Amino acid sequence: MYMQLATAITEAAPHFDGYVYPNESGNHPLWGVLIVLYPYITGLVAGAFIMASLVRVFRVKPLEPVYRLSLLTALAFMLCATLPLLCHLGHPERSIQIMITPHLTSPMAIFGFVYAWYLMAVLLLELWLDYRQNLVEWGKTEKGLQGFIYRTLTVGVTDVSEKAIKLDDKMSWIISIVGIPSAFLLHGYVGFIFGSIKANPWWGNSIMPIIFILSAMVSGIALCVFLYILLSKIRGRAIDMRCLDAMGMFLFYGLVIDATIEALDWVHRAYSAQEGFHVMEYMAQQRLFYTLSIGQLLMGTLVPLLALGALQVTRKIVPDVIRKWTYGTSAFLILIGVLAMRWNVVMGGQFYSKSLRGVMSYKFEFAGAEGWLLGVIILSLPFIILTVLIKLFLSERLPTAGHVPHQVEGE
Amino acid sequence: MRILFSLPPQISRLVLLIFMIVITFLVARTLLTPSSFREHGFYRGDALIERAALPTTFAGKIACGKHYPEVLAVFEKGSHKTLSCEGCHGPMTPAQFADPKAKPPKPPVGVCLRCHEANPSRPEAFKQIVVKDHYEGKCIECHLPHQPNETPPEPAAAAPAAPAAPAAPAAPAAPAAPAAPAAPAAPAAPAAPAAPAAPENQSSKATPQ
Ligand code: HEC
Ligand code: HEC
Ligand code: HEC
Repeated sequence: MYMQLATAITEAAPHFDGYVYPNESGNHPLWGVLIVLYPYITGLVAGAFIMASLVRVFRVKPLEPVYRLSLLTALAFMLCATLPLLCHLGHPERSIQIMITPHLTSPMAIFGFVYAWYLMAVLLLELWLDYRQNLVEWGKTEKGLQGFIYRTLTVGVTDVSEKAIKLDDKMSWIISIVGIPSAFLLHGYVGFIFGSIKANPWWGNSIMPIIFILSAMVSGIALCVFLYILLSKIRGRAIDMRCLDAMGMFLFYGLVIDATIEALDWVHRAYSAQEGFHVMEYMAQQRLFYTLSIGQLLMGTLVPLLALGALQVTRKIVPDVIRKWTYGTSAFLILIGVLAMRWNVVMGGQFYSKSLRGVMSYKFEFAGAEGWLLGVIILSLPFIILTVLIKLFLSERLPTAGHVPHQVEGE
Repeated sequence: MRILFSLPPQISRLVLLIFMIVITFLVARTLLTPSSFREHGFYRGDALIERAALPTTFAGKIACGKHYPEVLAVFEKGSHKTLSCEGCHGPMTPAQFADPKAKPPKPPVGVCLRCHEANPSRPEAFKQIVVKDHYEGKCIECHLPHQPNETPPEPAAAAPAAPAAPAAPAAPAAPAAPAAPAAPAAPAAPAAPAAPAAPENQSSKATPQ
């Protein structure tokens, strides 16, 4: 037994079942933990931004308290969105080349421009316009480095007359509207990359971008719910239950649509008995049982769906504390579930043979260039950046009290 | 210019900023684009010349044999004779290769299974094993990697009573031995004239010390 175990671990590491081409029985999948994180982080950006545009464009008043938080969240995650790819490349310094000599047939090159557009023309601009008035005020009162940062960020524009603020509003409203398709593009593109891999039945599917966008929206809203509850707890502030209920409602509806589309995708594959479906079925039942059936389906979708759905009906009678906990837990479960979904897509697509008649399994390392450790570090980085951003731009010390996006205020 | 200054300050500043970013990008682009780019196609033309000028680094079995003549000599006799050393060991750097005492990199664990794990897509004539049914222990405990049909000499401490079977791997009767499912006590080792030595051999191996 002991020897068998030792043999199984040392000698039989790359193992496979069924018919597998010889060149597929390698030691590591080509795409590892980092490629799982990449769509996850990009999705959180797009989701958090769409959350913010619910306030700015769709004028959902109850969500105002989380408007800035969600924009800053989007920014913090945006700054880290390319990191997994760069680390995966092995030669991150060469990434500049795809921007310098972009090729139109390279989705990666085009992504560079979509990313730059989204970061600079949408996120930073919207944040700047929203914060401009505050930056000017804070620049006057704050001393030292912090004051210097605020003054620098005004880029020398100190006009905070009513007319100028009105103009800011108009511009950031336009930017928000442009931002929604941009956010869809940013994340739909990630689905596009997978969806365009024709040879792989798990990925090559034109519904992929839509599935990615929907799950991105759900995960982004869940992240905002989670962060809002966490921030209130850390600061010892009371939670605005009206806001939380509204977020919970959007989270629920988002999840309903997302789950429906994903289920439709599976049902469609099953019903049309697509080539390769049996191997996907096998994967779902065996190799990916914990991440797909338990992680993604049960914990990440059904449980939150039931919990949030129940709250939609019983919102009036359930006490605040229980509602808060239910929202928080559901949001957390959804975050894990969407991570599991990314895992299933990226790994699921690689664990079966191109012959569609066999499956492989791989050993994942802890340290190393594609290891767990690096994944954890990269995933915690946006939270560190967000902490700094919150210290700088959502500080309780600074006079922001009563800030609401002006477009809404005027209503 | 006049129009730019008559715009509201935040807009004129943004226009200026965007202008600066675009200019920076264009300048960077001209500076960073290699001069031979697009010479032949969508790549650096010089890359061809640079590639062609690189010294050939694949040394091959003959070169390895100059370094390890004793290994190559036995290697050529075994059924692995068609393989190349790099296939298992990976390449050595030129510096390592110049050092007469240097050893080749150790093959990774599971290297044998890369080729020998049973797989229906391989030619049937090729020797394959189902690893979980094929004896216990490390492959190189029973097969010499360079002469796979030979058994490594038994370490004196492990089985003093059982000298190494010279011509074929000694067949220990592991519980899962496919060759002898009916007679675990007296394994019929095919092509192993030294079979009598085998049972003792395995009893010392199967018990983890
Ligand atoms: C089938 C795979 C395979 C091939 C092909 C192969 N080797 Fe090896 N070689 C091994 C293994 C396995 C070991 C043992 C490593 C250990 O002891 O852990 C080894 C050990 C060695 C050692 C001893 C290293 C030491 O640490 O003592 C030398 C030298 C060597 N090989 C040279 C060669 C040369 C030269 C060739 C080509 C003629 C070659 N090998 C081809 C698998 C291979
Ligand atoms: C690069 C592929 C490759 C690797 C790696 C490899 N082998 Fe082989 N092995 C072969 C080939 C080719 C043959 C010859 C098959 C034939 O002649 O039909 C062979 C034959 C054998 C045989 C049968 C010998 C005989 O004459 O019956 C054994 C046993 C064996 N290998 C063991 C090993 C062990 C142990 C390792 C790991 C140290 C290993 N092989 C690694 C390709 C490989
Ligand atoms: C305990 C000793 C032992 C160990 C460990 C062992 N083998 Fe063998 N192997 C044998 C014997 C004995 C034979 C010949 C009899 C047989 O086929 O069962 C053999 C036969 C083979 C053959 C030829 C099969 C054929 O069809 O002729 C291959 C290939 C092989 N072994 C590879 C391996 C590999 C790879 C490993 C490591 C996972 C390994 N062996 C581990 C003892 C061992």
